Amino acid sequence: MRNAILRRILSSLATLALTGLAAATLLRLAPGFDVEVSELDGRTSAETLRQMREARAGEQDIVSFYGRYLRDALQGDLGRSRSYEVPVTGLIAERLPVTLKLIAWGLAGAWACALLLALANIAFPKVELGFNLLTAVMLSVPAGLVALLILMGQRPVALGLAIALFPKLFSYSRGLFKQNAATGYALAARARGLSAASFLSRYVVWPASPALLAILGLSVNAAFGGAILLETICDLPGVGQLALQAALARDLPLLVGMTLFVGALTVSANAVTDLASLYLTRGRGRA
Amino acid sequence: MRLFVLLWATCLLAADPAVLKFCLRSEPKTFHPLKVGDDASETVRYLTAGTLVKINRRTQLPEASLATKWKTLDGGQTVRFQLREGLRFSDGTPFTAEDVAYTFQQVGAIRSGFTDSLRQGDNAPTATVTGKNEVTVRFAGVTPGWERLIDGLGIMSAKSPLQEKAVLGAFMVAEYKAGQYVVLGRNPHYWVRDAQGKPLPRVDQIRMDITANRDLELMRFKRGEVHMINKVDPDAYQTLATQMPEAVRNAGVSFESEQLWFNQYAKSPLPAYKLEWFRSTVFRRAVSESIRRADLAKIAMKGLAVPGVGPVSPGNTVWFNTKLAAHPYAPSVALAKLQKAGFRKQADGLYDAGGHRVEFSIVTNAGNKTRERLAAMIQADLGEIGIRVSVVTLDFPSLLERITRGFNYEACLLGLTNVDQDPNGQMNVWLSNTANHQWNPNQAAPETPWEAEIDKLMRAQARTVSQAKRKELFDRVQAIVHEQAPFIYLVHKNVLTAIHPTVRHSLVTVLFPHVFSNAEEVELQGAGVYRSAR
Amino acid sequence: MKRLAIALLLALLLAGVAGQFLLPARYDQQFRDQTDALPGGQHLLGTDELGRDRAARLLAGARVSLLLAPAASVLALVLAAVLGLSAGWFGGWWDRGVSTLIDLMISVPIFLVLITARAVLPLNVSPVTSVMITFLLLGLLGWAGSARVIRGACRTQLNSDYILRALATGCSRPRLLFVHLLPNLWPVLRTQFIVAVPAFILDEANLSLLGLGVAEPLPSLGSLLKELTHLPSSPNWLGLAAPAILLAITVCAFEFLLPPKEGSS
Repeated sequence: MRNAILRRILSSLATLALTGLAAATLLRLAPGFDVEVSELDGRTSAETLRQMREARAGEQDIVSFYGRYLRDALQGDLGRSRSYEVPVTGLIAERLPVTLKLIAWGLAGAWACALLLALANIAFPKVELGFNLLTAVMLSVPAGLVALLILMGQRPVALGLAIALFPKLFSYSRGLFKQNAATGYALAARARGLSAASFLSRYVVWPASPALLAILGLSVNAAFGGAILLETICDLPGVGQLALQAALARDLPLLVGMTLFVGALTVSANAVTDLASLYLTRGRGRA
Repeated sequence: MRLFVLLWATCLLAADPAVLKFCLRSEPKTFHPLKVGDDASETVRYLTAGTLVKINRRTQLPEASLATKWKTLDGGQTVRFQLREGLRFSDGTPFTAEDVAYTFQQVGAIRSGFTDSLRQGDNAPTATVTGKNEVTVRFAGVTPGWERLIDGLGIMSAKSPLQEKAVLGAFMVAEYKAGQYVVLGRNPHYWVRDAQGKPLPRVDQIRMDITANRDLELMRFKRGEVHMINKVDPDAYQTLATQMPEAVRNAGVSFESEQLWFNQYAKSPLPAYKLEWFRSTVFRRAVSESIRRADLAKIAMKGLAVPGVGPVSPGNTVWFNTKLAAHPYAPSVALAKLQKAGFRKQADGLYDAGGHRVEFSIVTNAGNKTRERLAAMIQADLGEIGIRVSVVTLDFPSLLERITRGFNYEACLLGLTNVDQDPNGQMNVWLSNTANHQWNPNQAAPETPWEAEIDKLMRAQARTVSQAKRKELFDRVQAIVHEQAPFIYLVHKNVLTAIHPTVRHSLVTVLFPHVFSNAEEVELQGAGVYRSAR
Repeated sequence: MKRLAIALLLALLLAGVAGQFLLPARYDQQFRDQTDALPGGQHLLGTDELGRDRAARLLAGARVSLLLAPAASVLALVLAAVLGLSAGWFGGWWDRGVSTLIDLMISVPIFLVLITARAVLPLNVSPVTSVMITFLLLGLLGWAGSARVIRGACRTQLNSDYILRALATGCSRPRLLFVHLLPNLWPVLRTQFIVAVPAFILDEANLSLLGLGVAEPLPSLGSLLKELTHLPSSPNWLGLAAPAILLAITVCAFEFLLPPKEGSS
């Protein structure tokens, strides 16, 4: 077990470093990397243009840039944002609480509703049609519209995130529950006249827990993705909004710093859920 | 109980400052007055910086500010300023003639679009202290219209430990959270008083939230959380006009235009036959004359624009060449001219003499609804004479890369903003050897006779002092551009703004900044009642 | 129920193909004196801001999106299934490699991948080609999430009692895969598919912001759905909501078309 954990942590770190490099390379390759809007200013002379372009020369060679960046990052320095001209760590520290709160509430709400309704669906199969319609409608509405409605109704943004995450989580967990409810064991147990509560917990939810954990890790990623959209539309100053602005402004230090930081969060969330799932399956294997 | 009431009243007195609120559409790139290039930074500069001379946004004429009077010498190359006495910067540092000299020294040291506008070639103006409260500025050459350039020059302190953060304007930067907001506080040493002799500004703070989201801005405006919108989209203006008719203000035709241009750059990766079309005046004119400009103004701009004429909008009454009108809609004439030039119209479309199907793509920036609509309408209009157009929207950096680096585009639809009403502000667009000569930049020598003529005319007008003579020269430039259509002007937008009814003494101007040019004078109804007297 | 779903989908497809003959207007025809018209009369669902018939655009968009989004989902799902299953099946270094790749795909800003892809592709492509490219990209990039879920589910299955029992009774490996494992993963695959179709349709709309979506004047369900954001300020709610209603119906139909293996008894 300890070996597995160690291996998981090492591979997570490697993934993280790779992710940072991939983000840096992509941004460097993205069109418009070394262009600034101010170049369109009709007043600017050729000499000034030349000097403006020179200022970005340090970021041209991405490998050496990334090497230097990682070295500094290990010492806790994520560099200085080009577009905001402030240290990246400060920006992240300022905005992280907003996003963490949003994601925590959003995930909690979405998971609670998804699990409860999925169980309700198993317990009362007759409502299935209603649930199908509900999820179909929710999947068909763009998250942008949800964000806008939240904004207009002045409701908490986390509600929007929960609404955006809910249908997928519901579909997954219902699928898993159904599958478990239909196994021979479960059917036999039910035929024995097991109470609904213990049937659901022992034969439906418990066997699904490793898979649910895997999805939990994934939903953290999805929540960060949703946060980008919701924070941007609802103008919530979190890291999601910051990440999009960094990409749009081709702000290399900021984007790489953000990728590493958010990557560290999601990768560790995934590692934890993976290990937990490993632990659960192992435990079961022994039983 | 009494204590409680007292506490409550003190709270009101202390904690209810009058805050004027509006949004910035982008991050201010700098608070340094000489490095300003973008709208957001310019907004902060306008509200915080003191200048020698100020252009009155209402009358569009220069008036005294830090300088009480001035005299032009040397046939227009030198100006001697008499400075106002006894002023202080926001941190209390006294204002002297040395500060002006220092500011001009910094103009020479710092390279930016703004300082370039004061340069001629590579030469910057210089300033020397020539007496107590007197400064003599020598420009790099004869500089007609220097007042408008000086209007943007925020005077910095030579001695203040706060450096450029010590300001002479009505407000000063009090707080800035990157990506979130800028708060300006009242400059306690501001010298201007209102007609009753009371100190200005009348509001305690200006809070500018940074958001690119226009829907959000509009929503907050309707709720009264934002007091002003400097530029309202035509769609939003229309909605707002029905919901809050008292809030919308249309100040008439702006200086801005939306334009389409073809890539004529010889070294671009385009096939030779396409470059040949784009370099042909007949082709460009034919395209221009096949566009229904009236429809563009009516539908894409919701009727809140006029058909595009040329580089100077009819809104710029001083410089507009009144002999010009928008290219007429005449597709059959255009087609006839194209056929004379060797193009052939077949059932499935237009072909050139070499048998190539006439088709091109228009790139424009994504997320700008009016531009996307303009492009879709042009696509339909040109389809009628057999030209197949594809519309591609790109995010702004990608678009910039294409039009300034790789030149890998065929036609581009964009609005190039004229910050300046004077033709000198567009010098680097019209001269054929510059990088901002968008359709064919960085030419070693003018590639066409008409570009050579524009070069000559632009340089001549910059050396001329007489306004009438300059107008004559620039009228000719406008006529050439109209004739050759390197830029196909589509529409000139109106200046559309919104001001909340609670804002008093507001003023809307055609010149930037449209709604808060008199921010120091505005007052908020309902606010300030509890404000402690100073 | 299943028949109804098939009938619905076929009807939609038919309407999409035949729509241009049924309706009086083409999807790209601009009736410039009838912009933002309300439903009724000549225009069943009204017109958009350029005076184009919303009904014609809806049918044309439905044809594009409903043909290509499921295709892209299948592509993504096949990729996800191959990678996820093989990772779960073989385990070891292959599993670690695939997991790293999945993590990478999920954490890298896809936005930048797409911008870079746009730079490589030519600008001057016909609207139809641009749609194909878009959905191909979506399929090629959208597999990571599903792959992770499939890998997880596969591992759970492999550890479950019935597989162990099957192995103990000497069941051959291919038989194990095709007879025991795959059918049990079917609900997971099915869920992934049903979730992916509308997600891809909506993603396509956002890609147009990067110049990668469906090009003017061709509509897609996604680009029409994006107009929903004007719902609060537009009187033509029917015209704006119609694409969402259509999409919801389609998603429902898929739900019924791909029933869970054991039924919900």
